[in-house]
Amino acid sequence: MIWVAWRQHRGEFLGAAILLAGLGILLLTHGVAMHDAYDRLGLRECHLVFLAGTDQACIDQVMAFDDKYAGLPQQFTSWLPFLPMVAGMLAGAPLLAREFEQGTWQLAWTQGVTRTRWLATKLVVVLGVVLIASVVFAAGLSWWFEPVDIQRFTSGKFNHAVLVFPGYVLLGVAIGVLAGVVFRRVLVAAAVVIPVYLALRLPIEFGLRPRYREPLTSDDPDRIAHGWPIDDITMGPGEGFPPVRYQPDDRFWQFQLIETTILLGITVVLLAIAWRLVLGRSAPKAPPTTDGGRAGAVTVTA
Amino acid sequence: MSAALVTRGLGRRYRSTWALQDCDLEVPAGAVIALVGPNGAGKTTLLQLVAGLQRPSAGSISLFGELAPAQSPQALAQLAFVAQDHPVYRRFRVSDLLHLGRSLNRTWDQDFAERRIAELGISPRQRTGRLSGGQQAQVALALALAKRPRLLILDEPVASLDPLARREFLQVLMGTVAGEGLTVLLSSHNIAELERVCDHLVVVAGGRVQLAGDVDSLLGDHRVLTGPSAGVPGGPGVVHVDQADRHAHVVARIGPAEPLPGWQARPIGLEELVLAYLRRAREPWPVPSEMELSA
Repeated sequence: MIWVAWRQHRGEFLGAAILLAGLGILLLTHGVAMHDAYDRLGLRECHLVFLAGTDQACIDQVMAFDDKYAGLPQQFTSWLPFLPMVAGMLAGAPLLAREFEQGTWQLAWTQGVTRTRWLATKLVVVLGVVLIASVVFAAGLSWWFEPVDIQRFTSGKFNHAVLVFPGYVLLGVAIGVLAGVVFRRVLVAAAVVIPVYLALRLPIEFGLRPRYREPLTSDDPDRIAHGWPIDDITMGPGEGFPPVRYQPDDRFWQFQLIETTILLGITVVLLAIAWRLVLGRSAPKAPPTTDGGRAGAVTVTA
Repeated sequence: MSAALVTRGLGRRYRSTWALQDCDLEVPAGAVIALVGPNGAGKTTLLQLVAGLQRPSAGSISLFGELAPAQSPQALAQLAFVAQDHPVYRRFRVSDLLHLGRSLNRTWDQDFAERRIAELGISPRQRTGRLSGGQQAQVALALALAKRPRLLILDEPVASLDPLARREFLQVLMGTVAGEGLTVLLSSHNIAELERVCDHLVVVAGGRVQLAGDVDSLLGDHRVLTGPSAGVPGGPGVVHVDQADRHAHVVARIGPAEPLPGWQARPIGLEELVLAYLRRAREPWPVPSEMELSA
């Protein structure tokens, strides 16, 4: 059954591998040059000073570096959050919808393996491949984004760390799988992934994420700038730095864990519903036959 | 002769409508059974229930003397199913399909499958999505037969094929079935094309079994009676009455008995028989007795 599941989705896996390899090459060539420049210019120390806003030479250097290198990674951070959605549309939605659409579920379910094993194997193979690919890709992204911004909590770095990014990818795929079971048409299921993914992701990212823990308050610009300021910082001329609520930098992995747990929780629920729908008592009704024109009449001549 | 398939009170409901109801069948091993009825009659539902693709809402199914709950490994090992339009994985090569059969079944006759594919003149490297409808049907049949099932179920196997492919498909099917004692249950809304191949008949309409039995004895039991339309007989044996101006044609289950005076009896054809029961199912006339549904 593992071979069958692999063979069925080989096309998608291959497509994803080509896409990721292309991105990987781009990311590596750009990233190596960027890391080189970062180390050569000694910007790590500069970055720290930059935040305190004292050393003009440093500020100029960081600005020049950002001008030269930061554009591409920043562009990526604006569309990469949609990648898990695409994974859901391309790998999740067809997983079961194509079986229903093309009628092959009837072939699969009358072989010698039970429906339970069939479904479990399919899910494990596809989710397993997706998980491994997304962890590797997220690791690459984390390395790439590292010099771009000193803050780890910036959405680019947080969204593409090795926990949260695979979490969103699994969620996207689970949405696709469930939509495929409910709608039984690949295109419909893929289209449904878009609004559902956004409806789940936006509230989590922008509503819940800042609230996983009670923020701290500080008027130390260095601490705040390394962490994640929640309030807007308004500073009149001649005033001191105002006290601001922020999430400190050392909560990064804790927040990653919390968000990933939420994502995996939703993923498990969605997959459990799909599982019940497929294996439960409500076995699929036969899809409508295409020869409706002859309905109601028995052909008695050849 | 032992029973290959027995259903008792079998039914399947979708929400509030019954797609199939009170289905009692008994099918002897080695029989070729034609399941006939209009589209939407419940044929596919019955076949999918027997194949374990759906769970019954009522009643039970036994295969070869043992209760066969849907998806039980024992039942799965004994049957093979070719669905309507013979779906196969379109991106697979033919050899991949055989690999699938080999890895998903405990009993699998690879030699047979390869020989069948070769006889069909199909290259194992060919993608199934590129095969003609007839070839795809043949590959699906080879896949089902290589499983070495005791019960082969085919849902409208020839409906989507052109006349030549139909003929070839049925020839291959019967050629394979003949020597092996395989029980075959196949559905069609076209009785004429099954007439040559089946020895048992099940007529389904409106979600109910209207008639079931051995083709020869069914044909022997029924007669077409022609007589004056004024004196149409009623009674339990009457299946359907076709009334013209002066004459009435009555399909009746009277066995070898002599017809009433003034009436002529002639033997009935299979199509005529099926039609009579389907018409009766649509417009019950006159109210018939309980049918004998012995197989």
